[in-house]
Amino acid sequence: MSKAPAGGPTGPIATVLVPDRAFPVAHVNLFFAGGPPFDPAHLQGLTTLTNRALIRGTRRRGRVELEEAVEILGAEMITATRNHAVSLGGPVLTRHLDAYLTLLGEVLVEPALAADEIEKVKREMRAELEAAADEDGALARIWFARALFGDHPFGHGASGTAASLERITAADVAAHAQRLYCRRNLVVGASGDLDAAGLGAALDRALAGMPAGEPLLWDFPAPPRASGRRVILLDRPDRAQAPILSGHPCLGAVDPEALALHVAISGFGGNFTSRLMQKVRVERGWSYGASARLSLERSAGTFMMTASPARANAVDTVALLFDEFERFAADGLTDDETDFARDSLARGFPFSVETASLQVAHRVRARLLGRPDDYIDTWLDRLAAVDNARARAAVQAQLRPAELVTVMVCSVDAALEKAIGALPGVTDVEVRPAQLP
Amino acid sequence: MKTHLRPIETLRHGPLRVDRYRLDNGLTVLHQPEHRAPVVSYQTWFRVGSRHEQPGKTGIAHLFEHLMFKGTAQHPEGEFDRIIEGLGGRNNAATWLDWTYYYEEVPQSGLETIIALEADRMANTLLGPDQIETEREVVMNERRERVDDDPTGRLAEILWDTAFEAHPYGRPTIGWMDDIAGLTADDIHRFYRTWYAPNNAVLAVAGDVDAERLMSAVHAAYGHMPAAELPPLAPVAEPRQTGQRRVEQALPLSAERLLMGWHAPAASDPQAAALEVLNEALFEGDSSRLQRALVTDGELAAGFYAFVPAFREPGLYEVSVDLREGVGSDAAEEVVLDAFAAVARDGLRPAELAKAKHRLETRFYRQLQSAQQRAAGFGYWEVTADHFGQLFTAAEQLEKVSEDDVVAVARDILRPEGRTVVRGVPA
Repeated sequence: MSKAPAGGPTGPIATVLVPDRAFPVAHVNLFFAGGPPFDPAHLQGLTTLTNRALIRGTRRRGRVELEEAVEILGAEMITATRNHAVSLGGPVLTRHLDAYLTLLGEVLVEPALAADEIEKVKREMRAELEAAADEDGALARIWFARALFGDHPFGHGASGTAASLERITAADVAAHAQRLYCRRNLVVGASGDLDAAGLGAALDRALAGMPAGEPLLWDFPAPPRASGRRVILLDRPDRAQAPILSGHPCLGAVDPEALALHVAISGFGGNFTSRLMQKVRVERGWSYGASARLSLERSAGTFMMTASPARANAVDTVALLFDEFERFAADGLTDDETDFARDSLARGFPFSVETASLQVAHRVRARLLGRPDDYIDTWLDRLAAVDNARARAAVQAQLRPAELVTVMVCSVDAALEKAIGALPGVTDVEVRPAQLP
Repeated sequence: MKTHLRPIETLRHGPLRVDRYRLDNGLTVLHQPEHRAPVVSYQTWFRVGSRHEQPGKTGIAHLFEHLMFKGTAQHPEGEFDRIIEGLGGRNNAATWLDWTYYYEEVPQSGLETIIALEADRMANTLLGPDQIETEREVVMNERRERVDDDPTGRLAEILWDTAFEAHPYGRPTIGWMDDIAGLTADDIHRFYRTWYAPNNAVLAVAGDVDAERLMSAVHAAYGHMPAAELPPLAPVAEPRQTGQRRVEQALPLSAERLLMGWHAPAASDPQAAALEVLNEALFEGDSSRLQRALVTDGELAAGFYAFVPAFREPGLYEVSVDLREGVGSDAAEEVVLDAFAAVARDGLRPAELAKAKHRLETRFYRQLQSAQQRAAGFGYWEVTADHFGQLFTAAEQLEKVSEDDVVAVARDILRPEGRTVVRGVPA
């Protein structure tokens, strides 16, 4: 593994590289710290739109020519938006690596960001949003994120809304690109059939024209807390099933209690043998799956439970999730459950780092989340220090069963609405058509 | 050397070596040693899937896959998963047309434990009424989630059911809801005794384990099991489709969805590689013809996918398009048909052919990264094409595909009159 310090105006480019010579293929991804929370509230979707528009042509070649130049190399140029970063890159046959890096550089340093291509991407994103609204699970996730964080920047959807996309101009995209794609925001993750010297030289050449820029500072206020148990019922006629998401905002990735809470939530709902799966699927057969998980972002994460029962069992399943969560939040796991969850995570660690690309992903993620560079190297030692007292303390400090947001997509009638409203602690039930917020 | 420790075949490809073993009872073992990480992927592939089911009994292969986790006399319900999770491992299973497979990924120290567990449930799974009923409900919920309430799942089920008149590939692997409800304990016991036997199974093992350790443990755990008399599989010929078939289904959608299918060759058929290359050129990547015609420039669709079947017998090549709001699926159908007709008439440009092959080469290497991927590749091809080496042969065949081969596929397979079309329209 070779690492270089974070890139400065003229210094080396921050790079995480894990070589693997087994096959003549390499993976190179360029990550830029940023993400949807940085989008202005009225321009949600700007980060995703900018990243997607980036690969629609350069000042040297149009979109069609660029796409063909990339793909003849056996490569893909994939853009992705995460909450804390955007990325650009993909796999390539080693024999074409230099040509691929040159194209990556061209895209980043000399993007065309043509107005007509930006408009095309906007229409694509709007169509994708509309298609997502036809999928119960996707619609539930969009509403859940919105309800969880409200108007806070963490509630910004990566794809924006039809209205926010409409407002974004080519000038907005150009300005955002200038802010985002700079050396001080960049971390390169590379794995496969390549070496540090060759990659470093090729990146220096390809990205020579990239400005140093200013890093985007992750400086957001804490997200709001919910009051009471709020339930949003998204009404879709003739549904056999009722996908449920339930949870609340939670701690961030660098919080000292994050690992202990991760262990506890893993025992509560992270595996087939954990409590939720046993209670919902194994004992009752109510849902194909039932889980709980902790998604960690820089300064705030999400605790979320999921299940997907038949509509006839929907109210009982929500009640069961509430009840099990309340018990868990009050008492945590038993000693045996915590030991089992912790030891299972520890023994499974080799799978987390089995391949070169997985190792790179962990190290890049640590850097982007503000974790120490040796986070993955010391993970097992820190995990070993998690006992039930620490896990329980984290659960009791961080989980809030009285402040849950719950979203369910199903066929709603008055009886179901009333039954949900009568569940313990429910303070608010909204019935909405199953459409985008 | 003891006979069970001696490979009956060794195949090398680049840095990979795969050894084949066979126990006296017919159990096949494929072993790919790989010592870069202290993990092992252990997969059990049974040559039975929904293709082997009888009308009225659909879904039994899949339901039985669920029941295989319900315990034995030695390991009561719940213990199997608990032991694997205790090892730090993960496990799951899947069922499809030709096969059912079970996999475990564990640290290499857990190998003997996994072998003992898998051997035990191959022979001794208990199937009590309570377990059957609970799991039947779970499977019904899975069907509601993946088919009944999933527009694409629902349309795909209709497409395959409509496209196949005779062959059991037309029946849904998850089963018709009424059939799932009607499966009896006797049906399930009979299915287990018929198909779950060492001579109908392939163990695919990749990772940090040497041959002597693996085969000693396998021999000890499985060697005593008797082979079963497997029922002969009657070949079913699907009549050549001579006219298009069309179905329209109203669904709670905001925009139309289009699914199209063409009968396509079996995985081991030489034409399969040409279809793969044609599909890559037309449907995969930002520069593909259909990405441009349907999405980027044509602006007809929100998204699409195309699926090249790789089954033992001729399957269905599938194209699915999610239209944008207000766009009729007729327009997308015309675009797809025009693209096939253009290839049948003019072939691919040399750059398109080269691009497709390069992209498929990259994908081939990417699917060999983890132990789980490698074991899955060997197991899959062993039960689908009767030889794990087809994983490598298929990649070589892709490289040899010529423009004439692609044109022949467009003419022979992607005939307009051979298509089945299902339109999902907003209710």
